[in-house]
Amino acid sequence: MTADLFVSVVAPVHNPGSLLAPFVAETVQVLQHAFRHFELIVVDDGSQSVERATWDAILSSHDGVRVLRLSREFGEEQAIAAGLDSAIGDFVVTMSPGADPPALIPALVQRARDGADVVLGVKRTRAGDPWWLRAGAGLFYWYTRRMMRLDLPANATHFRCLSRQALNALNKLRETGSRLRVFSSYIGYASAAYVYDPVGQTLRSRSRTPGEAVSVALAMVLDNTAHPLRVASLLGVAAALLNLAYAVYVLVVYAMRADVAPGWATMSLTSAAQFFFLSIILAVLCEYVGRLPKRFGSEPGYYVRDERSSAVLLREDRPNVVSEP
Amino acid sequence: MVGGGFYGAHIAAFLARRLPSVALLEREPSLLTRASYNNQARVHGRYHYPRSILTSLRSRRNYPRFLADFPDAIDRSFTKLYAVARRQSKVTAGQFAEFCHRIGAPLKPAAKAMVARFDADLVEAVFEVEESAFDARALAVAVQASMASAGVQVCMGTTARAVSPGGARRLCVRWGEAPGECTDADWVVACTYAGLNDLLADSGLPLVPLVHELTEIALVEAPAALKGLGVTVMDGPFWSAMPFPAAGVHSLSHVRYTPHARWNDGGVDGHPVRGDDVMRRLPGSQAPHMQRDAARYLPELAAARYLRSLWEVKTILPRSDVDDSRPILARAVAGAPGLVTVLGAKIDSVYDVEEALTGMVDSEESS
Repeated sequence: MTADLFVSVVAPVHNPGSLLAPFVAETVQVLQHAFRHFELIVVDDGSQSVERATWDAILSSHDGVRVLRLSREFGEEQAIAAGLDSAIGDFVVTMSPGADPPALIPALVQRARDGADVVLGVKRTRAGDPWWLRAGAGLFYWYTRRMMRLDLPANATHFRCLSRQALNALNKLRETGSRLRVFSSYIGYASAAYVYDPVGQTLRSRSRTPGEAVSVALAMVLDNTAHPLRVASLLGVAAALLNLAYAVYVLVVYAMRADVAPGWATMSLTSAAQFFFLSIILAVLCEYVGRLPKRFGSEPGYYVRDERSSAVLLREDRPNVVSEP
Repeated sequence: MVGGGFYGAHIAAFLARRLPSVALLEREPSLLTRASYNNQARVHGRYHYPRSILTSLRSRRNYPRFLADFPDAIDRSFTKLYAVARRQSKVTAGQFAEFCHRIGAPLKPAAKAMVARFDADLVEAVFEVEESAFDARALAVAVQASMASAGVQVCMGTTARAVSPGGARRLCVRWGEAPGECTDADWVVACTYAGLNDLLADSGLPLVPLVHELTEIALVEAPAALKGLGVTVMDGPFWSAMPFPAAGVHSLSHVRYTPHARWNDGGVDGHPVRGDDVMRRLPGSQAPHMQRDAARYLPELAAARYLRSLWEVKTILPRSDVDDSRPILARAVAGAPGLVTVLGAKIDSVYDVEEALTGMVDSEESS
């Protein structure tokens, strides 16, 4: 243990229920034993169910805890980004409470101290995931590797450790949250994979909100998301594929049958080809246009409602001697 | 006068020019050793309270007067920068500039070379302002001289234990166990800051609602390039590094890490808490936290060398908890005519207390 090492842990939660207090207790205990200086930043991603008294109890019984409450639910990645923005440690660990075992934090940090600026937690197995998630993940990693030339370790989780240097580079990128996974690799520092077994489900509950009136919903959707555009671009791709199929059909008919009307094949092929290209171009344009507000919009990726810190009164001095991790 | 901090000593000298005789009791061996010394040493310009116009406006009048009254105790030699944080700040650079413009506080964009020293991703804008630091030791010398010339009888190492009505005059201040160890007075001004309610409680008088904080300010040896520089990052959980003239070093304070614990005189979980007890059991230092966070904004601060921490109990009125203002408190105590409590605040607000006390004393002395 280095006497002066400072470790920050960022843990996003959303409606964590009764598991919150045990998680904080366990994590603080692990950190207290392993590091002289630490902070645990619990980012409350717009939880409805956590009472103020619950936070009070946590903040008054554990030292080194900070709670950052976001104004509404922004998603796990933005919550982590908010935590990263205010983390002060020499090494910063992010984790999904519940899934990632706090006991592994010292080992993860040790990996980073051994020279890797970015240590990415990697699930040993995806056995617990449904087939479509596994297939989708496979496709995603294939795509990022082949098309984006990013070597992301497959099955990476939110359990990672960044050095201060890597984190500063990461924070320079706008809208850190939504691109966090990708840019942990993009910034190009030495990275390492840390294979482990998650212990359970994350503390996030995914509760569906009741549907609202159609007009309100429409207005909100159009104001806030490019998703309809994404659907349009998917339709464009589908239309392009249909036109391609149609062109093949025309060629087959032309080759197989003798009673084809003169000019039909040419006309059909021309229009099929034109619609094919049109659809593809529209789909690509849709994708780019949909990204414009995100790339050039100046609005922050999240809003903080308030921030509070541990206030443990008259506690016994933290022992200056700590055991080897 | 009970308490020999800056407020107590200054007001004692002030009252000695209006009343026949004034004595000052201070439990420490010398003046200005507690909260008057253990703080940022900032003479607040009006910049610090963008969410409280009133405090800022009052300060507009007091600040120049303070500088004029204590020229030997003021350090104006350094460049004072205010940076507005880009993320999680409660004001934007535009709002801050507008606020300063409105209250007439001097403000100009900092030189490019200064701005370049900050992390551009975390800092939205950097301004150069007019503010200064005070030297608590030089202040002590100044108020000691003015007390001497006003004829104040100064009793160091004397702890006022209780104030009670009666005796030869309106009040009697007990400062020892023996029968003769008390002083009779027509007026008693309690200027004991964090110990205000301790004195009231021991006197069997009603308490003033106060909130206390255990605070830590780190003293650091700043790298050479920072020597002539004071930096404050606004406005939220941010920090300040500025010259601390009394020790010739820099002080480092942080909105998030300077306060360690907070309590009121009702106690915690029903157990009364006294500032003296808290000061005897200090928690671990958060100076490493302050330095690490500050170095994110101003990287060269990482090279500062930590020296020691100033620990103190800071006391505020519950009201200013929310809006950042620092209203001063000078009020008569019900049930003990002649007893006035004064709660120190920003150092140049002492003139507001002078005014309030003048009103109280003159109205009764003339009647």
